[in-house]
Amino acid sequence: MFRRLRSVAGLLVLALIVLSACGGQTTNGTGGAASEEPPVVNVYTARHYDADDALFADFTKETGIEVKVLKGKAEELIERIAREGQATEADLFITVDGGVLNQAKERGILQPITDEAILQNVPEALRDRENAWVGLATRARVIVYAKDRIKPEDLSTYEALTDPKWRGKVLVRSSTSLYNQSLLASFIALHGREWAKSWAQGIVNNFARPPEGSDRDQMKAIAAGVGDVALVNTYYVGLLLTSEDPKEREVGEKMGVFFPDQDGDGTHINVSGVGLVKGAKHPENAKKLIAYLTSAAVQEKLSKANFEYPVNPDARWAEDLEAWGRFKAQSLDFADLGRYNQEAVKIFTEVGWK
Amino acid sequence: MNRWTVLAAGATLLFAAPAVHLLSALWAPAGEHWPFIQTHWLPQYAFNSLWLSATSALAAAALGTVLAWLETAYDVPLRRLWHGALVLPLAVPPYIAAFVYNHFLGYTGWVQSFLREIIGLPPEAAYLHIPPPALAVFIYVLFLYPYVYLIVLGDLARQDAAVIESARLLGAGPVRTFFRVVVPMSRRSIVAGGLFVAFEVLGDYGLAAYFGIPTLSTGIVQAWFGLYDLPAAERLAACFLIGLIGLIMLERLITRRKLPYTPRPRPLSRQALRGGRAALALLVHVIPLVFGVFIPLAQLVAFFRAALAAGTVHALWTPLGNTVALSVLGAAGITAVATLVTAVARHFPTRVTSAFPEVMLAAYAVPGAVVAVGVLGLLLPLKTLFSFGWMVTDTPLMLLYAYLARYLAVGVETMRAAGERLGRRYFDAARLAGAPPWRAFWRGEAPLLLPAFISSMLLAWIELAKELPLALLLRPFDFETLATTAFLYAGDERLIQAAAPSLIIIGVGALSVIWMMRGKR
Amino acid sequence: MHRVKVMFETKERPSKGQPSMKKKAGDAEAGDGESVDEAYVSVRDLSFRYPAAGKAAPPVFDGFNLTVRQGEIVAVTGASGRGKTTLLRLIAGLERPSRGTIELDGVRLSAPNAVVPPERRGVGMVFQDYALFPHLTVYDNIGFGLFRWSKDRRHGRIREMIRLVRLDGLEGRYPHELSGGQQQRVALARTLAPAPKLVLLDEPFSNLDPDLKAELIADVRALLRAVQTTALIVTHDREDALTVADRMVEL
Repeated sequence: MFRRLRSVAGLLVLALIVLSACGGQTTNGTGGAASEEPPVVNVYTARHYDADDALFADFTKETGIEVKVLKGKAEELIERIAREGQATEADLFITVDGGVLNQAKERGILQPITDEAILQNVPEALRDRENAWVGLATRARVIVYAKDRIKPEDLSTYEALTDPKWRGKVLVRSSTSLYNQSLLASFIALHGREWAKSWAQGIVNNFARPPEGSDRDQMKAIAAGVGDVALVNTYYVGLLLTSEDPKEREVGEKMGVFFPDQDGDGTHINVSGVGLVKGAKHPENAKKLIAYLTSAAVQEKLSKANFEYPVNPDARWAEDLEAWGRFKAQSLDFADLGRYNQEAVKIFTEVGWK
Repeated sequence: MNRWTVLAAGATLLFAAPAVHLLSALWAPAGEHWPFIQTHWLPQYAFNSLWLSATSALAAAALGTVLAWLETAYDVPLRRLWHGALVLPLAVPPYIAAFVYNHFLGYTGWVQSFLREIIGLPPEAAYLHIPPPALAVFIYVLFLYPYVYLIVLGDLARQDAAVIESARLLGAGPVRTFFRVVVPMSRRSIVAGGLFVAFEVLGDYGLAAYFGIPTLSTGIVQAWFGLYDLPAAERLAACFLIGLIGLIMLERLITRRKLPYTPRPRPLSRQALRGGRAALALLVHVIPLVFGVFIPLAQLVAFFRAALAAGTVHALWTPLGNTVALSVLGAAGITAVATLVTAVARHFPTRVTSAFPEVMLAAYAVPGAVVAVGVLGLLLPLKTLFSFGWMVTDTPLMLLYAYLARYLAVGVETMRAAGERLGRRYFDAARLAGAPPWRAFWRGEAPLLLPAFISSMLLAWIELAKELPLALLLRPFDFETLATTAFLYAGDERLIQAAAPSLIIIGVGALSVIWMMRGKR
Repeated sequence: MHRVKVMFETKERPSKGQPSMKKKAGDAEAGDGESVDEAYVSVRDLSFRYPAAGKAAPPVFDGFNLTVRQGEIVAVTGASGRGKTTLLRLIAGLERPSRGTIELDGVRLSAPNAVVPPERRGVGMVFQDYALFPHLTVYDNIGFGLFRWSKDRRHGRIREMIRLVRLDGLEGRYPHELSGGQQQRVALARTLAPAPKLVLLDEPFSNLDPDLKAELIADVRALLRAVQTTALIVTHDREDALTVADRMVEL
């Protein structure tokens, strides 16, 4: 019996060595750059959606190029690509949030995308100024309201939600959410720190309850009558409407979607984007994939499956999105979202937005 | 100093290094965000951590003690069934319970749906608002009280039944006996159990993060990934660590001094319960089981079936394989190091060698987030200093190292208890027969320690299989364990996908409970 | 000493004020027609078998009878394993008889289907290992059973008991700070303080230094006499039994 334990121990040591060797592969793969790229493209993505995986699979089917995906948190992925430098295996970097995309740019891990086909797919407003990244899809941070008791005429701007008439009626998730941080960062960029702080303070004063739960939970709280309006991402309204759970679909049906600031700066949007990694080993395949993902047909699929707004102006919107109507979006340099992120975090703390 | 002592010292230093590194960070530059963290976060987060752990510990101590006393003194209906079952909630990690209950009690959950659709209440009336901190305490208590229950139960079994009987004969009814005799006599084990729960709550990352309750543990992660300020995260972790060291010393002080037990304790003859009292006792037993076992399982199974129906069950082979490989390796490492250190402390006892196991035992109270920051801060420089540095930092090795640093206590406790029962005689006899220390241990003691090896392996394996914060913070890229998979799915609000990994984790946890309770009837 | 006696006569007995038991007492008297004065403690047809031992095991008692008069000190002796301690535990209500009845002062305390719980029997017991509360001082140990008394009466009673067992000056000590003989006296004082109708002593002399034993036996007897209580003492030593008791019963 004991002898057997010893051999088990031996096996374990062996397994340890193998395990550590596995990690090693990541840096000593792909040595010499062949003139003809092998049919592979490596994608580092912070978007963990089934819809994305399905599109990658379609791409492989169409082109024969295999898409290898490595999922992680955006910050970790950036950190890793930066550390690997020229030796990196990554060809493409994909993430949600313009601020984070800008961080990737500033870390110097992206190279400009010059491919005309791609640039034609994505309007300038949804690309980096130097084309270090291009947008894939956007979401809007809108006001949802209880259809049965609030009229859309009562709503106008983000700022109007700080009016005392909404006291005890406003629902929003906690400030640890990147969506809220970017929203506030956009206000800092557009109106300055003081304005942003008094806006945040005004929302805090009107809280229906201390922030808790996710965007979906805010809408459920509206359904339950805890509050009347909530700041949420359109993406989550869509998720509710298509949930596997009929009760969630019911909640979704009760929500009205309102795009604020239509007469002013426009509704806050957040962009998902893709960047070509500096030192990419398969740049041609990578560009093919970007062109594919931004093409009108694929954008339509993405919009339908994931409730995001296409960046390609030729792409039709998903029906539900279309039903909410067209809207004017904030036009600002997405880099600002990253630039003012920490300022936003501090303002939230100062005004007591948990 | 022989070479075994040197080896044990080396192991102790190796695994205490993250803590030492953190404490040394107190003298390093604090990071640009530290002043902000210090004024805005630290007081609030420390306060949250403290009151969460204090309330949970008190309530868990109360529930655990009452259940242990009922088990000891009364013939509660179906008693044999309860004994093992009452420990079962331990199988459900709080981070899983968190999303289960959030859904269960939420607008689309069973409770509110029932109130709306079956009872016909309007949504406003059916809406149950349980503030997340309250729900957090509820979950901590419900899923951690078994620690108190087990510790107090063991203590009560060693006490003299005659003392309790004396109290009764002196006219004290059940309530007075409980509060005036049982509780004061067991106060050390109650406090020890309560502190154990407090440490678990302080160390929890998953539940607090899921509910968005800012605590010291989540604050460390927030400083690290939210503000990208590793030095500030280290500083915060170091402050936390200092507080914990104080708490650990307090715990040692309390558990060290034990009341003398009677040498031959006679078990208390259990009183039969009838009528209302039996029903009440039954209720006290049934409630933790319904909430701690039945509801989570039913909800997870429902999620899983919904995933099956929707055809969105994702294959779990990779995370499963990762979990098994890492936890088995970790458990083996823990057992090996624990054996070395406890054997050295036993056979070459000096003040220094006997401190080695103590250091490792103390590490158990250090939260995963603190260990993770310590490990990362310690190991990251390797990568810039040495060409082979990535072999540690970019592979599961770093996580494995952190596992050992945090969970060596599990092995040390098991191996030390077994070693104490063994004494020194076999080892000494083998040495007198001319065997060198290694041989004396390997041939003389190791075969006798085999059950302890297995026990240590199993306990450590189970602990690692459900471990969340270390895996979440230190795992290499694109490397998921079951725990991180479940947690990330839950964080993405994809609860039905989180069900399958959660159910596996709970299954493993149930194994641990069965193992712990075997032969303890 | 006289004061002690007075206190006992005026004391509140825990069992009083409980109508159901009074009624039972009446039933018992009527049914048996036996003189209460004659049989203060009456054990009739007592059988007992440890529940854990199973049906096949021989019973510890089978049809055992015992009568004790008020104020009498009776010693129960017998070889170990004959159930001496079990008899005390049955009388104390810590075990439930499988057959037979136990009555005290005309009140039926135990029958197979109705057992008055120990805390309501008015029976005191000194355990073999004394079973002092380790977390309480001598003073609080002695006062433990007096929780229904007013504060002043309780204090007076505790002082009185401390004097009676000659532990003056040790009130603040904890049990583990006392010698074996002192512990025994605390146990006695604690048991006697609430003035039980019946005192049970389980091997009170077995843990003592032989040199001290003779003196302590005399002490205990004097003490029990002083408070004029009825007592049942279990001991394996016939000689001790003869010295301390008025009468000896062999199991």
